[in-house]
Amino acid sequence: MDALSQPRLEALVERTAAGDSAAFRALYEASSAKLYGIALRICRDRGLAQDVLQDAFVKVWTRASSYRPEHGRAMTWLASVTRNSAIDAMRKRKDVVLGTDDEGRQLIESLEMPAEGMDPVESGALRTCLEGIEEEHRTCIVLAYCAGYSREELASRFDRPTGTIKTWLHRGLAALRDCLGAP
Amino acid sequence: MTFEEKSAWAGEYVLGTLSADERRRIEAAMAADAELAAAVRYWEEQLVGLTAAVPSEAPPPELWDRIERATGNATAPLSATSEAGADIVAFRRKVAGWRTATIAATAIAAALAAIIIIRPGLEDEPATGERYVAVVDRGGELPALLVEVNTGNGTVAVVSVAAEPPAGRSHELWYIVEGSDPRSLGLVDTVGAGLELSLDQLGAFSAEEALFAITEEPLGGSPTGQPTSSPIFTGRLVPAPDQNVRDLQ
Repeated sequence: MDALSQPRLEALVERTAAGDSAAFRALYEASSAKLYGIALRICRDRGLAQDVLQDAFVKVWTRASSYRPEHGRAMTWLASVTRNSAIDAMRKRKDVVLGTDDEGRQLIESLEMPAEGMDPVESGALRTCLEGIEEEHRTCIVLAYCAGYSREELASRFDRPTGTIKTWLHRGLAALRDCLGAP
Repeated sequence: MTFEEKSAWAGEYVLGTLSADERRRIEAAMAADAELAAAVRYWEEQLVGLTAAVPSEAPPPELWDRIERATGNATAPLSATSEAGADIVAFRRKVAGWRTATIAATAIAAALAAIIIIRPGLEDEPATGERYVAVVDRGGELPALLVEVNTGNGTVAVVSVAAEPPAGRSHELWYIVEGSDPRSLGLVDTVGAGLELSLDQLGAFSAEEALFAITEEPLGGSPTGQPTSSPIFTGRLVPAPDQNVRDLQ
């Protein structure tokens, strides 16, 4: 199942915006496993990830009419709503829970060799461009996006000042944008 | 801010590396800065492929039930085929979002009813119709407002018991039923003050559907006649025993 390229997700969001509860249910069925996986990796806690997913779908229901197909795909919007809920939930917490030291490497390997049942990196361009940037920058970007690391958590992970992490992130993002092409 | 800086800020927002305060700041800035909003969308679209690194996992089945309850989505949806229908649907969705906050209020209202019933009775107002009471509160916290509707004598009594607005702002009380625009019932800025209204001012009255909500508005009330912000307190009616909320003043 390649949830990222399902064109029907757009139609389901559109019908959800019109108050169609059956479409909302179908949207949940089609995307919740992917989104729960995303929330779970960031939250590292099933209870919290479930709260996050509930919050995300309440927002999907109440804000579906704000989704604009011309601004991006439905899966991108759903992933953004979910990730924002997850990151907001994590930033409220005081405790810092880091994953294993090789979490970044494992995530990058997952991108390189998508396991069965996973979505392949859709464009291939992102993977190619990620390979082209400095390793530390790449690891910071992947750990932040996939596992919800803050600047401070990355600083702790790499044993560097947060200022250095900020520089790495900005340089990595700028190099990615140069490679991917500006909008 | 240069485009480079804006792109980096937007990129970090999408990565999730910013603090909660910075996240709120960029979200506020996005509303007024189309270039920044476009930069955020650019990174969202470019980076979403990274989700491929994270395995999917089916959430537990009961999560859907929680979502359905939270969205008030178990009822049949209204038709959105007409423009008016779309407005109603948009409004229904707004209300559905608020509805979650009212579940706890019902419990408090029930407790309040129990408190009222043990107070000495009043002789001057024989009960001739149904009486309902709503505790307008925030997620089960200290009630801000008590509302009593008496369909017998056609009165609505409102008593503010807590929560004054910040300086230069007003708290506006709204009566909301599905299918109609929120109806302003007036300002409730002073603790201890009350409003005496007639049932007619509510328009269509339905004890089951009625939602009372307080929003924070510019001083003097909403300039548009409709809420300009999300409710900070909400409450629903539950049947009340004899007595009325004015006694609590």
